[in-house]
This record gives sequence, structure tokens and C-alpha cells, in this order.
Amino acid sequence: MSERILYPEWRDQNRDTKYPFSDSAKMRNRHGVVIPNNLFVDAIIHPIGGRERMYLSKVIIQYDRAILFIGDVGARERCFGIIPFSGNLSDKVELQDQFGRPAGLLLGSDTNNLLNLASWGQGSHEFDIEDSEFCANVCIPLPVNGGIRGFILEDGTYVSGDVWFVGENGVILDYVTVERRDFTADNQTETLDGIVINVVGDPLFKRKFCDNVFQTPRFIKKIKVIGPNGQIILTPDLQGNINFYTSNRLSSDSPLRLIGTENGIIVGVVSPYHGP
Amino acid sequence: MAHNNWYNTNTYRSYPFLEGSVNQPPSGPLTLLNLPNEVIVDCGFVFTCRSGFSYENHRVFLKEIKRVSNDVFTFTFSNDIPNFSGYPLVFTRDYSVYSSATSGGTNYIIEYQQSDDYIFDLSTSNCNEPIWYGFLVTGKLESLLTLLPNVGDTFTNTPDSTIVEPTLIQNNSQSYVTSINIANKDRTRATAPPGCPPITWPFPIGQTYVKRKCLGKKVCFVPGYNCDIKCYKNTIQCSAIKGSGLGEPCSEIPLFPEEVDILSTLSSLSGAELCNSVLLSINGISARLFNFYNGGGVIITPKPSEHKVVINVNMHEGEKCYGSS
Repeated sequence: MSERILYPEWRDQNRDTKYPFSDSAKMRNRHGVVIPNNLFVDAIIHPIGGRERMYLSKVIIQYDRAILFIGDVGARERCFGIIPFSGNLSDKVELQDQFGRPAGLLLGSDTNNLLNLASWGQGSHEFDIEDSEFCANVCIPLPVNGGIRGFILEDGTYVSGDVWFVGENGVILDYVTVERRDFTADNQTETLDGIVINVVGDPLFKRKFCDNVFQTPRFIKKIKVIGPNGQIILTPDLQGNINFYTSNRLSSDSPLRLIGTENGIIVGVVSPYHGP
Repeated sequence: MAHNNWYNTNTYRSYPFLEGSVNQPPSGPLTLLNLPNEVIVDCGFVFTCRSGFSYENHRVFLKEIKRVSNDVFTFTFSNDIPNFSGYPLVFTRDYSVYSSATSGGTNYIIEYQQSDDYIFDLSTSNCNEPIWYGFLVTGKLESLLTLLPNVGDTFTNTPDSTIVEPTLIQNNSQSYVTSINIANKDRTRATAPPGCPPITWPFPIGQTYVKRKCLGKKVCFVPGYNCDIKCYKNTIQCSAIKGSGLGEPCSEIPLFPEEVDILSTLSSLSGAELCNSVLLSINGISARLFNFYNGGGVIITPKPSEHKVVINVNMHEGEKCYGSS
């Protein structure tokens, strides 16, 4: 008399059924490639921006791995997982999207069944929705508009989590609150967080970029003029300039001359006694 | 043929735990390995962006069941993510409520919990983002009354006990932006000229100074000094254009409020001399090496050791018209 287990364990119960594929899934593609019922026993698929009717859309077999793509009605490659044929074998196939964000898990019945994918032959094996649709209860697509998902830099780098904007090299970031009137909501005002971007430059950039050879100069800050009537301290004006004048309080016709040159001043005297 | 319903079926099997990690016959002190299948019939967990969860490397498990009073039990779930294992989800069941609500069948109680109350690093704001949250569905609790007969009795876990099925976990690690924060790296700080005593700073320099953490859900970019911001479709483009935005600043912008205190001893926030405090030109003539030439009737004598230039107008070699040939 055959024995029947009344309450099989969860994975055992699924092992010989199509689950996590849908009851209506054909489990074979148009070229006759068959997905065994016991390939997976469970799954959770939650790609960002995913849509309805998720399915196994493509399996690429390479000499050392299988790459499984999950698609939906909106895209054939919403996320993917990799099964290595050597090294650390696991019954878990972690899914990720194009930016490396987690997108779920396919749970293999055991590692040997996953390795059997190698027998499909190297190349790309395509499936349609009707061939390999997943049950709806294992699919939890996350909305793509649920707030900012991440920042993508020009080189394709994806940044998420606690994102820091950092000012550097003459850019200083500041914070303000910004009142904004929402014309679509009875002119109600709302307070936004504002990131102020100030571009002020780095006045000491030579020191920064020539750190090994740069020496801080010893600037002249004042000039002491010592004359017969005592001494005067001269400091630069707002433009950093000091002016020397030739004048004489006793005579409007001073013989002293200051002639500017390209890189200095000629101090001389004109005299009627020293003609040519 | 009538079929059992979902929760009812799970009272007779390991689910939602891995097979072999629960409902094992006792052999020695009771642990969660010996937890009857009927107590917990379903659960599910969501790890948020900051969790760092990985299906391959991390697990969720029931860590403890404790009888905290005559009728109340707590169910503590934990995980093995480094830094986060100390922040469990604790579900509470009051057996008196459970038993009074039961009428002829099992009363399944569903409870949701999230780890809002747990801040994993006191030095870092968590921006009110929980590390993880989840739900628990309990089944028949009668067995706990006999397995944990006294208040304070606990079921504790073993490394292989009560491990949650991985497909009951949704992993949102690094999947979205948790918070936007702004900071500034330190400005280039001046150094003293050779031979002069070094500049001392009343605060640590070379740091990244945090301006604001956890900006709100609606954030806007504001053009400040010399900055222009344009938006093209989904690209925000910032340009450095002299005089745009708020124009040119009249003074330096402090990186943090206490930075301005150094202006009592230094000329500027960077420690450098200001343009108007050093001699840049004489009579409008600027040269790296400024020369004084002596013309007729004048003798200029440099005295470098005394940092002095002596201009002696002796009138002896004057010209009638200086510059004429």
C-alpha cells in the first residue's frame, strides 16, 4: 500500500510541482527546451520598476556559469541571477538588477539540479511569458517612483543609501530652508530643504596642488620710511598698493623725479646746475 | 476532498522555518530546536536599504521565546548581519486574549513590528529609517504553557535552530536613497613661511565638516555664489559662472560656525594674508622683484641684512631734464 505524507514540508511539497512557476506555465520554449519542475522550489522576486507577469525570459549557458534573466510585460531583462558551475555551489540564486541592487532570490531544489542547466548546451535560450511565468505570490515588484532610488553618475556609477554631497576645491555647500507655494494645493506653502551650491574658488590652490614644492612667501606687509623728520609706517591700500609721490611743501617745483619702469622705479633728480 | 488551509497546513510542518531547524525531539535542555511546529505558522521580513543584508551570507532566525508574565510571551527574531544583530524584532502575545478569542479552532494572530526604536549607531542619525521590519503569525500557543511553565522561562536558540526560509525575506539593501546629507571638505589651510612659527588652529583641520544630515523628502538645489543651475530633462547641471546666482561673495563663507573665531588672530579663514594686507605694488607697478634704480643726483644703497633701502638725494649727479639724451 502506498504511503502518503499528509503534511509534507514546504520545499518537499513544491519539489515536484511547477511552483514557483505558475500553474499555466508550459515549462518549455518553442525550441523544446524544458524547464524541469524540480529546478526551483521557491522564489521571491522584487525588482525595482518591475511590472506584472514576471517570467524567466532567458537563460544563457556559458562554460562556467548560467545566467538567468527575469522579465515582465515591460522588459525582457528586469533582473538576473548567476549560477556558477564550479567553486562555491549554493541552492540560492541571488537576483540583481543592472545597477547591482538586490532583486530577489530563486531557491533551487538542490545544487545538482541547478548544475543540470549545463546540459542545455552553451548559448542563449529564450522563453516567452506563457512558457515560464512565475506565480504572482512570489513577485513583489517595487514601484520605480517610490522616492529617489539612487543617483547615477556620468560614468554609470550608482549611488544609494545615505548619500553625501560634499563640497571641495572651492565649492562650498550650505543649507537653507526654502518656502514654496504649491499652486496645485490651494496656494499652501511648504518648506523644502535647500542645498546651496557656492562656487568661491580656492585662493590657495597653488599650495594644494603643488604641495611638495610650494613655499609660503614672506610677504612685505608694511614699509617704514625713515627721514629727517622721523619715521612713517606705510601700509597697503585696499588694492595692496603704496604710492610714493614727489612733492615739496616748501616748493611746488621739486627736482625729485620718480619714473616708473616695467619692474620698478627710477629715483632721480633734475637740476639746472647739471646741464648737458 | 477537503484541503487544509494555509495556516492550518503550516501548523503541521516546519514552515516558515527551514526543515530540521524546528520541531526536533528533545535530547537534553530544551532549545528552539524543540519548538513545536504549531506555534508559529507564518512570518515575513523586509530589510531596508541600510541593512546590508545578503541572501547568501545572512540569515534570520527566531532567537528567543520568553514567558514575561503569566499570560504574555515574547518572540524575538534576530539576524546575523554584523552591526545589526543587536537590534531584534520583538513580537508579543497575550495568551489570555488569544485563548478568549479562540472558539472551536485556532486563532491565528498576525502582528507587524519594525525596528524603529533601534538606532544602530548613536553617532549617526538613522533618519527614522528602520533597519528591518516584519510580521509574525502565531498558531497554537497552548504548548508554550507547559514548555515554559514559569514566568521568566525562555527558549533560546542554537546555531541551527528556527532559521527562517530565505524566500520570506525581502532584501532592499542599497536599493534606494535613504537620506541626503551635505558636508564640505576642509579648505586649503595656509602654512607659515619658512623660519616662522607654525600657524596653530583651535580646531582640527583637514576634516570633512558635516553641514546637515537627513534632508527632507523634498529637496531643492539653490544656486549660491557664482553658481548657475539648469535642468535638462532628468539632468541637473551646475555651472561655475562668475557673478551668477547670488553674485560674488563679499566675504569668506565659513565651513562651520566656530570657524569665524579665528579671525581674531588671523587675517582670513584659511589663515592666508588678505590681498590688502600685503604689498602688491608700488605706484601701481607690480613685479615679483621690484627694483629701485638710482637716477641722477640720487644714490640708492641696499642694506639687505637690515632689510633697508637707503635713498640718498645728494644732487651731485642730477640731470637738467631727466631722460633727455
